[in-house]
Amino acid sequence: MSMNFQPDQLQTMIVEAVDAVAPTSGIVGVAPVSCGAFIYDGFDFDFCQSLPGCAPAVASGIKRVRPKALVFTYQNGMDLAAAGISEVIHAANRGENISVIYADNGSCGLDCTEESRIKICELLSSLNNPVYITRVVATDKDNKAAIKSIKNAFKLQQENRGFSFVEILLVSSDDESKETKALMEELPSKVFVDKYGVEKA
Amino acid sequence: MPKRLMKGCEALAQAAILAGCRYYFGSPVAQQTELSAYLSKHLPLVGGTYVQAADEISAINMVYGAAAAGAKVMTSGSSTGMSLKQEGISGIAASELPCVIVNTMCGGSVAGASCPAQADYWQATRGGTHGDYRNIVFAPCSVQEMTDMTIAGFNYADRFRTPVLILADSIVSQMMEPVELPKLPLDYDIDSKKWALGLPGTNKHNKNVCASTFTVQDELEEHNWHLYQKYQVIAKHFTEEDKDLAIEEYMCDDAEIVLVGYGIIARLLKTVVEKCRKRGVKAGLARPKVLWPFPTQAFKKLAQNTEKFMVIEMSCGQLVEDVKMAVNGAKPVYFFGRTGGAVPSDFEIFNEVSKLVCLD
Repeated sequence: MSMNFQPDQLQTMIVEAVDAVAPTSGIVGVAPVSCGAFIYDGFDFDFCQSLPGCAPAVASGIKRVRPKALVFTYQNGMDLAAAGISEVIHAANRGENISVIYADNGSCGLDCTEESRIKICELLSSLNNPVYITRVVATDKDNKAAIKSIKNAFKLQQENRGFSFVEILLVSSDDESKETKALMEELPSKVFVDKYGVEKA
Repeated sequence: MPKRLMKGCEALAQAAILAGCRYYFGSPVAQQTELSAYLSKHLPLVGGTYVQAADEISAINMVYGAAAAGAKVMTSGSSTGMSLKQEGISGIAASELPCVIVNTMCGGSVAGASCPAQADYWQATRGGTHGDYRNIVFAPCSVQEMTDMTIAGFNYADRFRTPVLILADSIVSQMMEPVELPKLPLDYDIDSKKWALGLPGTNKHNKNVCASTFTVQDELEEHNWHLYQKYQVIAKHFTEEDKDLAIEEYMCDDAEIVLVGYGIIARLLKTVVEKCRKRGVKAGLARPKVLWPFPTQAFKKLAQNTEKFMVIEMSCGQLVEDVKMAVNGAKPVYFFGRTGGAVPSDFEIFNEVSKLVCLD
């Protein structure tokens, strides 16, 4: 299975989505711990590092002070689905007007085992307040769906709609292994919550 | 200015509003419940934001974000909650973000008990968790000081871009006293900090980064030395420029024994000093009001004139170590403590002092 975490792929997608929604009053990204902590090097707008799993809480603090700014977190499995699982659940449950971009590389936590995998989109969908929850696949050759989803999330935030969550499975286009196919069946691309119908727009 | 009768933690909350604090993230827990409740009611009245966080970790990280965005921001907790906040405080200190954090100490480890204690001195004055950092620590002993030190705390936090900790005990937090609230300008320009994130009008190509993680060893060492230099400047400030804020000395000029304590204990010690004086014992009181930076020079000077020190705490002995370091063996330093929620009486302390001195 070759589901490599590739920050540069994600950066490209986020930049395209930011350009598409054209924010005019500040952009702030919140980075996770580990390899993603230095993702700000690839962006030319404000960024804040955060403690393990705490990006949604940090983003909440920023957004409360800067309600007009576009505020998003960029997190991986170890950060979001292990140390930070409480933070993302509570930010979603508060309906915090932020966007969480979850780069899923197929493992959730430092143990990095498939057995430890948690279906975050399904879990968050049980809450009342998120307005947009989706899971998409992005490969090195096709990232259009992911860009569209991030753009939707950012648009909803600009309209003050509330919490949005985009899970992106990063897959190599030449990966046809059984393991990856099984994973994609287990974690299907799907729109789980779309309260304002942005997918159809 | 007329005085108002207020509870310690409510006066602190009002002082925070007067100092320009418009964001509070925390929960109503234990001895600081009224602080949180007060702000939930009064912050929205001045256009502020109160968020009852799901837990302490969430709260301190919201503080992290709000401070990074340029706000005057506060959180509070009681001992156990403070332990949960520690990693966040470390990150805030290392990222050089200003904020005020209130700890109304309770007794014991883990959940402890909702009772008066001073068992968090080490945690407060040694940074609190991993990393080379310190926080400015104020120790109020009255409702008026809860007010004054909070306002000073916000000013110092902004001036030195560092967290300021108000280390209160549950008695000071819960008791009611007349308090004079200063009239301060309510206006604070939230866009005045040019390093802040998400400033209005900014967009791409105008980048501020809030970070404390470094992968290059030289960069990390340089950052740690930079923080150290800042802490030296803070220490110098409280030694040379703001000495009165750092320590209160009471009847120390001719004291043969100096009693040392902070917070509510110091008020008991004043009574003990007066009792001693009536019995012909020249006792004095030294009350550190700022616990970090510790008023080392003041204690060195006191050691030149007195014969001995006695440190009294509601713990098994934490402040006493700083006093010993400051005195550096020049004079003996004795200790008396009660712990687990027990508050020593003035009579009890007087008896302990009596064992060290000759009474008439």
